[in-house]
Amino acid sequence: MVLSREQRSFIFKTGFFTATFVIAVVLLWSLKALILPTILGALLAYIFKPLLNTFKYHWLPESIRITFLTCTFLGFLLSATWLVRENIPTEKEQLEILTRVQYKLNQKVDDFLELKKEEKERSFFTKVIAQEVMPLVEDVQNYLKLNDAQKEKFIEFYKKDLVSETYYQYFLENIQHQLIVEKPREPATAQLTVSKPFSLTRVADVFSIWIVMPLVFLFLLFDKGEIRRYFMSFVSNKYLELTQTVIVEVDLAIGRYLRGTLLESFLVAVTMFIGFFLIGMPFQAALLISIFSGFTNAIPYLGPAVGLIVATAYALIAENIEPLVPFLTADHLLIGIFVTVGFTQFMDNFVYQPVILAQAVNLHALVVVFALIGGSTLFGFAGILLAIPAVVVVKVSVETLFRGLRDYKII
Amino acid sequence: MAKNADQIFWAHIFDHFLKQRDSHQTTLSFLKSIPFFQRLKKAQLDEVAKILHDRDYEKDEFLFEIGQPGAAMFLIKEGEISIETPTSQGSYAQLAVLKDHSFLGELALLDESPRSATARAITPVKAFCLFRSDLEKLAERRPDISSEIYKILATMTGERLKKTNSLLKVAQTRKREAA
Repeated sequence: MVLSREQRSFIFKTGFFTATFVIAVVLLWSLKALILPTILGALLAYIFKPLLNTFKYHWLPESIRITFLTCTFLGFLLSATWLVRENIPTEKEQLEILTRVQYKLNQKVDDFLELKKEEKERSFFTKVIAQEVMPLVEDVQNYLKLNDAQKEKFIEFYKKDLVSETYYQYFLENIQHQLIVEKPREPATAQLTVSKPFSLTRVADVFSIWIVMPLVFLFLLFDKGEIRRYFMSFVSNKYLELTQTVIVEVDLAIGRYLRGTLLESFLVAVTMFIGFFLIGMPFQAALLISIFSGFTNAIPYLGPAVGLIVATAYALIAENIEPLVPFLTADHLLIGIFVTVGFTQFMDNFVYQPVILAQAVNLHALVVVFALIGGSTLFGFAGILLAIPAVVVVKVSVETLFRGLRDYKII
Repeated sequence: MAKNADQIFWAHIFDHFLKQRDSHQTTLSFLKSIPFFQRLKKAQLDEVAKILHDRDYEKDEFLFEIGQPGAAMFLIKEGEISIETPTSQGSYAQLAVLKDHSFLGELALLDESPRSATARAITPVKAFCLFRSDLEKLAERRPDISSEIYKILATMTGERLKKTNSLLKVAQTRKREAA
């Protein structure tokens, strides 16, 4: 049987694309460690692409402009890495933080549930609450408590006068508290352990994976459509204009969504930072919590709650609070945090989102929930962050494709 | 003397680059022959060449059909294209035949309004395709080039409008005389 040219072409194309698809899936699965840096690099390129046209002057050669932007990006990346490394607490600081958090938590729980009072002096209300909440509190306490090696290390630091007397008192109080309330349980495995020995191989592994991110970023940032044109050469003439239209519209929508979300997150972070600073949070804590909250705000529904939980957790362990607002006192920190987060959410929902994301994509709440669960199952926290952009890409692509197919009278 | 493996390898590499250079030169001289790009300098034509899509059409294949949203202009390198509109009898009436070094669908560079006619290859055709979206992106990077192209497009559209107006005037005069 002799096949016609069309039949041969169809068989070849089907076979070729099936094989390519299978190989791509296998490669993606085996190189899944590279997916996250690649996606992040691509997202950054999307966000910063408009910057490329910002510094454009007729007297400035393109090569110099590109070199300048590359150096700026690498400088920014190195500074950010340096900043993160500088702010990672040392072993002594980690022990101090754990001790302080545990002490403050015990203190707040004891005060709230009246645990230090005699049984008959406690109200019915606190007894009921204590019955429900204590298992959870014990879990948290078990998670926070120092293991034997850490306790030895803490004492060693204290003997060398590296730990202040206040922290030592906290440390002793914590041990005493454990003797009172502790049940015989195994310590949580996720507890902080004594730092592992420095391994060059581990650093090299992480480095070799994350080097992909700036490379992807730079290639996509300076790409003038070569990648798209290459893939377009495989598209049949019938679908040429349709394919280009779909790609351009999807590209526009994703760019608008990502840049809008980034700007919204930035404004949320700034609003929160101002609020936290006014209610007396120390500069570093206010900055870190507001950046984290702004970052997680990109996750619909879940993000604002995460911000509130982190800020509230900080309020429970906060010390030396000096509010800048006259009528507030250190005891009102929690109220201040609720007001700040509430005000930020008000600003976000009624000012920032309508102005910035007016043309962005709307997703149904159920889609968001499923996307978040799917993302977290596949890629953990990074999956939660990237789930919504991924759903946006799929939604915009499908909508645009169907509209295009109708416009071009293909369906 | 027989060439060794190294010499063959480098000869292939050089050959590849020479062919690429020749193909680029051919594209530039082709672009220079199209009225749209005649005012552009060599460096500007280099930029335009980078955003063109090289396409091959078989006989009877459609470049675009009437009513479809326009997204690109086509530049014919080789071959013949028939511009047609459907008739009430279900067949096509030929309006014009375009040959090498002509262009079609240029109004798609302005907006996505529907194509006013169908373009069908009546011989195998080699063409370049220039997308509106690519031209818009080029306008962000190189406004000097896109402004030249838009200027020529505006001039051509204006000339066509004048021509249509004078034809309309002639037709109206004839109609009045006949009445």
